[in-house]
Amino acid sequence: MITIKELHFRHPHAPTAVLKGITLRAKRGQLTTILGPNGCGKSTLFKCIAGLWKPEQGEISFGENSILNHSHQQRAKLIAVVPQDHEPPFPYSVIDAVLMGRAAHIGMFSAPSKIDRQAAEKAIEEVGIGHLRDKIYTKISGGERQMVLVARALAQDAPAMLFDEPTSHLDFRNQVLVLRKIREIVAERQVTAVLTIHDPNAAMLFSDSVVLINGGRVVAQGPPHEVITEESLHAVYGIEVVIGRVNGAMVVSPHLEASLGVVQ
Amino acid sequence: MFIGAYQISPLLVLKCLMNEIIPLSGMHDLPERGIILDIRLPRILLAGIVGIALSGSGVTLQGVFRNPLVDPFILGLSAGAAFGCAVSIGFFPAVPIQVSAFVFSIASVLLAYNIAKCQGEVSRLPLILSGVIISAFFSALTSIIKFLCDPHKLQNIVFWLMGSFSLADWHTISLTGIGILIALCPVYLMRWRLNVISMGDDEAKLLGVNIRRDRLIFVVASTLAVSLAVSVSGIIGWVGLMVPHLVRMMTGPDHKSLVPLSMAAGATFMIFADTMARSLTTYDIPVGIITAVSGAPFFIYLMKKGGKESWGK
Repeated sequence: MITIKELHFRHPHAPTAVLKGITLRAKRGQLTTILGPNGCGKSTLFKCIAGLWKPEQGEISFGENSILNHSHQQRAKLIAVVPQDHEPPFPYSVIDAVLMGRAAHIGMFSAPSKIDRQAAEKAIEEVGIGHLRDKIYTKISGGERQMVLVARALAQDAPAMLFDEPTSHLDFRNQVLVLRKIREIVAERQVTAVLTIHDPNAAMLFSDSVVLINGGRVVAQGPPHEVITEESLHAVYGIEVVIGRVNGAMVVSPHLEASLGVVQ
Repeated sequence: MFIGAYQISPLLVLKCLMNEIIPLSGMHDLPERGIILDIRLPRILLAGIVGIALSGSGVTLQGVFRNPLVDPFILGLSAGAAFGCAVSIGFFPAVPIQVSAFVFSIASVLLAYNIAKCQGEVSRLPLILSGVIISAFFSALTSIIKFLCDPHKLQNIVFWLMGSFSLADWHTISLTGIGILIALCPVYLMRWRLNVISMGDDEAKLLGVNIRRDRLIFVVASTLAVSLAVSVSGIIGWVGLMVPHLVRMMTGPDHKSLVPLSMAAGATFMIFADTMARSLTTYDIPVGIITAVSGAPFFIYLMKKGGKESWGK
């Protein structure tokens, strides 16, 4: 379980804070999504949890223990991060890329052992990308690369997983495939999963719990249908939306007749 | 070992080498024995060791700086080391040239890195440009030294700057050879980590790597190896760029195999180039000229082939 208490973050020399007292909780075996418009502080919050940025004050803990002062290696053993799409300078094969997930488990002067290789192979099977194993990582599609990054995080064997807008570069089909796979993994491995996203529909469909963020503060947290409402989305995004049922699922649709207001 | 200004048959070479292990009769007084054991053998060994140093650090720097187009020469590291050596030869004979070579080469690589970093994330082109700047700067300083120091020393400096193994003897080999091998030990042991580091700073941190510490170890170790190499052989460029590239093309980018293979291929290439250098003409051409003559076209070929990709963001 990941608990965040009263987290504040300010860029050095910046006049205003980006995060103004974020408090949230992500439970084990659940997919918790952090939803919010551009510039709401999602990415900052993500970087704080991942340990790339240090918050000004507040607490981030895993289970009972604070992880704020963990080394990168200690943290990587607890939290596996799936970053957004990126391009490495060398054409590594997919299996090499997945093996990198083992870095935290491999001593400074060692290379991957048999156990590490097995973990990587298993992760590749689990994500269902066995056919990509020996392909060149820089030459596969964005959706496939996202799956490889998920496999890399699985190989890391951490009890928590953090996803940074995993669908933002993907087409419609791949968005669904990736999110569905993430849900499967969360249920199977019983990990604590946190995911940032800016599509309310995806959050509604795939998450167990939603944290709605705006202006560096938590607006609401709870089950998707309670947090994602016509009122809350209007308050956060500044547009009128209608929420209706399609095929048993709740779907958010913008209300085109109503005034959209000024684009922020 | 049978190639060279003085014709010696391969059989005789073999006999001479055997003689060192099992003494054969009538071998002691042969002049060939001296040529083989005290001139050619040390020279070949030195070429091999320098080849290991240059291409080992080339592959390391390419990984650490996430840039397939850098090597010790392009980053200005060799120029820094050369300046250090020139200073030591020309003005401060009391300071060992290895020490002053190391100091100036580490300074040059840090300078190049920080100049490139001015614009946020270190991307490919700025790093190469700042390497060129640093190279030019230290070459200019070296010229000043050449201009100021006395003619006798000048000749030493000039000859040695062109890059050559002709001064090899057992003493230099044992000293620099051991130094280079020790310096490259951490690189060899930590080679798999280069994979992770080459993914970028944030990635490496997320995967649990202490990037600042590891990068420092890699840069210091490879700088040390290169400055030792430069201190015995002068500036030999392009090896650190060409060899890792060729190996990468053949075996893929996984540093676990890339690092040792590059070192081995570097040694082979260097010995080959040096053999060309001393046998193509009756003169002993500085081997640095051979590598530059083959390296520059290779670099152009890489840029053409990689197209926009190799210039990077």
